[in-house]
Amino acid sequence: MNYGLPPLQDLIEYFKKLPGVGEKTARRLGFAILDMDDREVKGFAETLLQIKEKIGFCNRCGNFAEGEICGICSDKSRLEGILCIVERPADLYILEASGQYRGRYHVLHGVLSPLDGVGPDDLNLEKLKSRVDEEGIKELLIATNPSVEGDTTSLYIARMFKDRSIRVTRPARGIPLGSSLEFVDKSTISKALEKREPI
Amino acid sequence: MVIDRIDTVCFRNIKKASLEFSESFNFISGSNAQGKTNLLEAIHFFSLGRSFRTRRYEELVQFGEEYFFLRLRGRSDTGIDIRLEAGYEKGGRIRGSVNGKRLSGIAEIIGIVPSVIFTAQDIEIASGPPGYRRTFLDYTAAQISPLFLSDLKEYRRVIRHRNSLLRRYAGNGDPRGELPAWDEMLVEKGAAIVKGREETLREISSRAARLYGQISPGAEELRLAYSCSFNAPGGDTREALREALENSRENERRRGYTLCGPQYDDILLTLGEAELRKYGSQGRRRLVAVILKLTQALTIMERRAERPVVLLDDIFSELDEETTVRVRKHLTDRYQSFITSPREDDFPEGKEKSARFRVLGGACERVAPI
Repeated sequence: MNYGLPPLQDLIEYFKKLPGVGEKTARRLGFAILDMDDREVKGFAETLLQIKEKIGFCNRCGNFAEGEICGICSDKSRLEGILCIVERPADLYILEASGQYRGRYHVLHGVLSPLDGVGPDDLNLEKLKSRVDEEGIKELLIATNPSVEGDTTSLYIARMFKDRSIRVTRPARGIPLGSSLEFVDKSTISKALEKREPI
Repeated sequence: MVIDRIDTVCFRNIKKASLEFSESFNFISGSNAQGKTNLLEAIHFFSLGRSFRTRRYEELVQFGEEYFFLRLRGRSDTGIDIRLEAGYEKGGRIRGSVNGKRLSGIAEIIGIVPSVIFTAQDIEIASGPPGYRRTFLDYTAAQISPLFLSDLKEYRRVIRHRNSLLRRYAGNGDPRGELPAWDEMLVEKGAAIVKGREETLREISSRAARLYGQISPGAEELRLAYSCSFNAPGGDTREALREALENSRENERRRGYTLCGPQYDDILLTLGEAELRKYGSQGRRRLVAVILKLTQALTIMERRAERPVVLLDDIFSELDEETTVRVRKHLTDRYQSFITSPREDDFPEGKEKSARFRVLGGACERVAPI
């Protein structure tokens, strides 16, 4: 749609770059910004600029951090000896929200994918090696996604440490809690039945 | 599933057709290149959400037109009325709906109208290269186990990744040590494929032998056996695949692609002691190919709560009269079937409920029984 208002058009195009935002939502957001008072818009714009300026990657684990080291790495109460390996920072926050895991993380920023030209050098793996030595890691919990690429990456990492006495684990897969069998897809049920466990 | 009626607009060479079908036999006759197979294609479209001949929807639009539209009305075996629609406009996306509810993707239509189709090239299952038999087996396995289909997709992805790696480092080894991880993944997924195929074959081979015996009484026994390209019968699949990968390592690096795995396996078809592919006559091969497809239909009926519709494109031209009668008897009361032939007298009036259609230059009409 053409409004004859190029700045608004630009703003709408920017909104459309965000995940889950299509033409209609972008338009609504654009008009909402026009309706906001000047001070608020200014605050919004400054926050956008600051977020890129102030937030970078943690030098140790690759998570987002304000400063050199992220909050989780500098948290002294975290369990020592175990690292949970994830593909992206977003995955880390999902695991954090469960409250189940009390150790630290290591973010790969991707997975092995030869078809996309992504190899081991493109992942945050060198740092992982040195961390395992320096932090006396005894277990690596590899929580990459259960895709061909995620699984292969976990095999690659397991091989990296196969001569060391380190326990390498993957999260179990199966039927989601709180869901009724009738809503679980067939592949997941098949897999869960295959990997059934005694009670 | 029973299809009561179909409406088509600008589909292939059929400008417009509205046809009501018999719940048992539907005979479609017409000379070559008049549109018989196009009509089957339109009916079959609702099984996959696409044509069995092409993945390009543009090709389905009638020459000189901009869109096609298909509608199917029918009843599920549980008695629920079903109305399916699909439409495509050149340059746009294929759209579909089920009972008036728009689908977000046409793939959601899969499974509503299960079907088995036999076309001219399906004789290759009996006489062609192994790929045809693998496709047949994989399709049947996917009907039995949903997990098989996801394993198959994943296996293919592993092969593509691995090939890309082999090409990139052609002859220069594996500088970053990635191959072993992909090998392990290939072994894992490859073993799952072999297991799924073997289980499927075990289930269908006795069914196929029984059916062959019924339709061709007195003939030698039809046997189906999985022929693994890298493992001897009874051997450990994982071990064998690991070893095969080890042995072909140098060759793979030189050639730049994966040289072992279930993508090279086959089904061995034998009649008595003779291998069908080498010793069978043209007529035998054709009959075995038809039997295998009908076995697929029986398997779907057994494993799913819905009877498949059976579409047979010109199969009787090479079968003798007795065999034709037995195939018709097998189809009666089991399935709704759609059968084409260039000759009207291929279908003498039988006792079964039937409807006849004539296709001429893209015009389809129901005709009176002969």
